[in-house]
Amino acid sequence: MPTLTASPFHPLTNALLPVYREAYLMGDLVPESTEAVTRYLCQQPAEAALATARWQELRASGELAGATTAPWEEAKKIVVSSSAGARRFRMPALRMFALLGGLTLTGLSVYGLDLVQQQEQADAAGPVARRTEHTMEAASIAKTEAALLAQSR
Amino acid sequence: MAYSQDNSSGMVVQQILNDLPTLLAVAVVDTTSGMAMASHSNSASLNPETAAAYNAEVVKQKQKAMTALKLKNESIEDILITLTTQSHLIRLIDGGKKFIYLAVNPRDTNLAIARDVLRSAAELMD
Repeated sequence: MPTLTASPFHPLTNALLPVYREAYLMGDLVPESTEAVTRYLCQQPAEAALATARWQELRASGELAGATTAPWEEAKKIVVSSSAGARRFRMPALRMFALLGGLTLTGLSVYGLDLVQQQEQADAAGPVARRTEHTMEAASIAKTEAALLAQSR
Repeated sequence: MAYSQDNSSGMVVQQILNDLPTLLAVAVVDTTSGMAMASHSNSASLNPETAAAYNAEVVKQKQKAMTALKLKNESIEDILITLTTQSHLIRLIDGGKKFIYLAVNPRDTNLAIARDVLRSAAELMD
């Protein structure tokens, strides 16, 4: 059960107070202070070295018999493993994206060419078809006009 | 010896040392931060800074208990913790914002005198 609720840092210098470093190593800080000290030790290698030395002393004296890794080292591992996890996720995602992009480009290039060819064919065939339609229309008009003339006579 | 006699905390520690030369440790502590403003120890195994931090929690928890019990017209004057070979006395000052921590061996120090010394010292701080 964590006991110390006061800030583990000096109010003026913001340095970690030795008593609270000890309390941190013993697991006697409230969770918020424990997290703050962990962050502090991850950012301050010199302080972390001091804490490591003290942690080893405590372990050697049997006061931290159950502990195998210093708390901030554990925190570092979590950060590294989560970064590695994110990397593990990012790499397949990038590969998948590249694969999909490749497939899309391939598809566009194949079907796109085909579409262009079809359009070209349509354009080439278009005037003939339009001419045929015009011819049929003109024939139809002429036929209708002839019928009307015959009726009027 | 972690104090200067230029301030009231240091003067209190010095006065207590004068009155109880066989004491184990003494400190004037800020309750909120748990930091010792002045301290002295005659025992290598008793760090008054550590005692200050942990006993600040004792005081805070007792103050919480008083609030929970709705003891509105009561205030903590002192707290006595009796160990096998030591007595730890906590005398609250300045309305509980600070306290004097004193550790003595009851074989060497009369407990009634120790409490009286703390009471007098507290009057210097109030």
